[in-house]
Amino acid sequence: MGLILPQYIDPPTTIREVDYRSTSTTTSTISSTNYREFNLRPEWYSHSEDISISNDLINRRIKKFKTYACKKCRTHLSSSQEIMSRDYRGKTGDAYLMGNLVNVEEGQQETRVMMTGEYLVCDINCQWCHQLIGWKYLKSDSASQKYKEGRYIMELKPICICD
Amino acid sequence: MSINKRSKQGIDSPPVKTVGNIFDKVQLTKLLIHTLKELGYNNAAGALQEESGGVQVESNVVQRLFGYIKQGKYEVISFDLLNSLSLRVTNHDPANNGNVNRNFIDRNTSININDIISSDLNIAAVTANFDTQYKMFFDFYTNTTFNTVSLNRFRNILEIMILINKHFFVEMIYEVKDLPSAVLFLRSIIRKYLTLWDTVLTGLQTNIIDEDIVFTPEKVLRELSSILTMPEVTIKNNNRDNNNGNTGTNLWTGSVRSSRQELIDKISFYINPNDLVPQGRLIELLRQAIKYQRSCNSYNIFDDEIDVDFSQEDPVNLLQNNISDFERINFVEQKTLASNMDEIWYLEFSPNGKYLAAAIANSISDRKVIVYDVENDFSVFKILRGNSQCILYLSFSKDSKYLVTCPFNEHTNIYDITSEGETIELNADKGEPPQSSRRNSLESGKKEKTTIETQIIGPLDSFCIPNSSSKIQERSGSSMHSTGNETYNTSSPYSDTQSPSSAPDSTTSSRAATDNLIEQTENSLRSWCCDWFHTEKHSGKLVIGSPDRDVVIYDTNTRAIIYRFSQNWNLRSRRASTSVYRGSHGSDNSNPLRHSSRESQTGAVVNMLMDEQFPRIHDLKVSHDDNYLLLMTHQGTINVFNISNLPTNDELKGLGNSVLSNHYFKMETKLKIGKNITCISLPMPSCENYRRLSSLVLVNLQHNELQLWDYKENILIQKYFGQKQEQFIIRSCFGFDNKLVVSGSEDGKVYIWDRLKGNIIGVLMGHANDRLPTRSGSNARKFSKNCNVVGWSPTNKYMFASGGDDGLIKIWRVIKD
Repeated sequence: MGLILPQYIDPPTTIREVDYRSTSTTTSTISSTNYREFNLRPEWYSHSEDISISNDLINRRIKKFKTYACKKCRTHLSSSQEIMSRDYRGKTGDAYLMGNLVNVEEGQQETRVMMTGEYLVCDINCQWCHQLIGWKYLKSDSASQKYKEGRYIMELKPICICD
Repeated sequence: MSINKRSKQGIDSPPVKTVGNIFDKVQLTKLLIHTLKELGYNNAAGALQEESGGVQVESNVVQRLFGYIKQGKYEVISFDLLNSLSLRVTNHDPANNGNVNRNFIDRNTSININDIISSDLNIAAVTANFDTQYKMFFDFYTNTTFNTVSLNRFRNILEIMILINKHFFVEMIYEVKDLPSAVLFLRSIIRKYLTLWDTVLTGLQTNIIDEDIVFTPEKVLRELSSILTMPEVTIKNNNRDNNNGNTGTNLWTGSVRSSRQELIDKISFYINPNDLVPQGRLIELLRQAIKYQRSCNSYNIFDDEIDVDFSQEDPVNLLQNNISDFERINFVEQKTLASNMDEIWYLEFSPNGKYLAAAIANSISDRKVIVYDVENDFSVFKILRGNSQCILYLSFSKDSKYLVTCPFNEHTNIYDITSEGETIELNADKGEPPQSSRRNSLESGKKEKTTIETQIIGPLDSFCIPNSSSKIQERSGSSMHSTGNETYNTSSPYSDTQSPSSAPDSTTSSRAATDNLIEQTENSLRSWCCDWFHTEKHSGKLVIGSPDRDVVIYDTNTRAIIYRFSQNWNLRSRRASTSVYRGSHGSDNSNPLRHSSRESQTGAVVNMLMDEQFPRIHDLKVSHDDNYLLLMTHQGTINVFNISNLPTNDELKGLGNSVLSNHYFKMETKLKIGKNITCISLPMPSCENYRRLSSLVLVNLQHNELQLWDYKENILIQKYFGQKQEQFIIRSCFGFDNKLVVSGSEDGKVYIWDRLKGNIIGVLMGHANDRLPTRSGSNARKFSKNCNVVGWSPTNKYMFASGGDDGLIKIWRVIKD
């Protein structure tokens, strides 16, 4: 494996960037998430929160925006915008359920039995330093857990907050 | 004699107008006669002239004019004579075209006339004549209505006249040594001509764009007056300029004869080639033919601006086509270095060509850099320890003594590779279980260890870039934008803490508390790329770039960071509206056209900067004259900073480090490549063509492409295709006297292009084989087979190295079949 050119996740720097009209800025790098969704509300929030977003709220979002990165090599992995749940446990301790991660490589697929059922998962590593970050749900048995498919578990031990 | 040689055919056969259906026979004859004369076969030339029925190389008018000049009979040169000259600009005039002068002039008399060189000048008569001629010129100018063509023609005639005047003036000074009349002549005659010339030029609206043009009214006047005041010095300076390859006008070559010949050569430039065959015409044609023949061979590499290098080892055969017997360039594998057990991510030759350093992605041991001794058959010379994380980048100092390593994390290490260290058995230093038996090439490596000892050395210096100050600034940068334009002027970084938006929110604070489980990053920046300064005045300094939005200049003499670019960046936003424009006015004294365009460019760049943070830097290079710093950002641009005003080492000693905190470097240009770039490289300075190429920069793009840019002119010059590059960082370089461009590829091959033409010269199956399994199955990650990096030896034109994911370094040699 050579060195893969990393992507970056930067906090939105202006109101304009979060504005509905602006789409041309380059700072967003989470793939397959366009700017609007990325900054205002990931799609899984959409039914639970009020549609009207004031500048106030946007500003607060900017303030608490955090970029998570691999602790070893500080490759950007994800941001606080992508957090779906903070209530998970991984192999090493606390973990987050994340909507998307970047700069990771997927390991071999395997079936694991967890507390909520049986899943087809694969481990994910940082693509630069190959540190184990967590795993990705590929397939779930039960219909109630379907929402986890394609989502990631990010362990908190191997990551850090980056700016 | 010539009459005897005359054959009947020439007279009797009907006149053939064309030769080979294309070429005018008369022109060809002229060319032959001219070439014969040039070769010194005067009799044969005369014979040919006679036989062809009086084809004249020079027309009557030209002959008369040149005869007058050679004899110094300036007093008979008249406006009418010059006006009857057939000039280059009037080429399209059909009446003059192919106008064969059939008047047979006895060649003996013409030769006799040519041979007479008289140096007695009738100054009074000449002066009087030039004065009358000026009136003719002036009357002609005022009484004729010109169109552009005729005005141009008039200008050329005038310029010829001025050349003659100027020459006469020079002759008066150096030959006759009659200063008073020369002064008088300059004042009364030449001045008038120059004024007229100036008027004509204005009428033509000719913008003199090129500063190098010597022949302008203003400059001629300046030149002549300087001759007048100090003749000897001017000549000396002039000769020195000419020796330096500055092909300016040669004022006085020492004798009347040669300087008059010089004048004739200059005038020839204006004259229609039909009336006067240009000098060396046949040779020029042959040269072009050879160049064309060579260019048909795509394996033959040459530079554009140098003519085909007619070297002794490669003689040109005029009697046959020169295609098949040319050397063809080829590449052979000379050696494989297999003592690295993991992927090679970076390698570089030292500037003196003696060492080759390679960085290995070895996650087990901390010995991640191996320095090979090139001269001792690539035996391992030094092993550098002390890097706990993988090395991304290496850079040798100019004197090949120091080596900087940039690892994943924040600690940049500097090694003195000449220092002594712990000697070690070569076998023991491999942090891998011995699987060497599989590799034959390693066996040879084992034998070599008896001849040279390998030493492990630790870092001489280790430092990291602290984050603290820049973090505050960065934060302030982002908050400034969020609250609107008026905060650009506020200096306090916390200016917006009073804004209502930042009022704490209960739900967010509780959430933030859980985030505390995650550690904050350590307070230092990663360093991903570095480059040393090259010149003596900046020795010991290096520039380090970080993906965490900073670039610093580190001084190894004082072991301190002397400058941070991110501070400069914030300074710039505040200053932008005022001082940048002024700065560009003051420093840029090039010609007006370029000036204005560059100024507007700077303005545009500055406007953009208002919205930008300092970019993340992935690669950087310092130009070899230390005047420019090229920063490759992750957004697909290359920012070129002018760092020529950086204080030298001596100045820094007196000033102390704090001085630089408000120092300001101007951003010259910004190359908008538009795609993700993985690497930039500059041409090698050791080649003789470097001066022309010094502003080139080669970039690797993420999408299967390389581009060659000129960073001073901000233009794209050439693209190179063929190699595969989708997601990995692949590096490239110049090679073979900068005539080739080499790059790695994701298919493990090495691709080589002709720099100028962009065609592929070679594809080498360097690292395309499947990787040998060096790890047990537990860590079974997918192995790609990239060729990550290539490096060309700066001193050996024929040697380069490539490194890949298979852990091998291959040394290649250029051979000519």
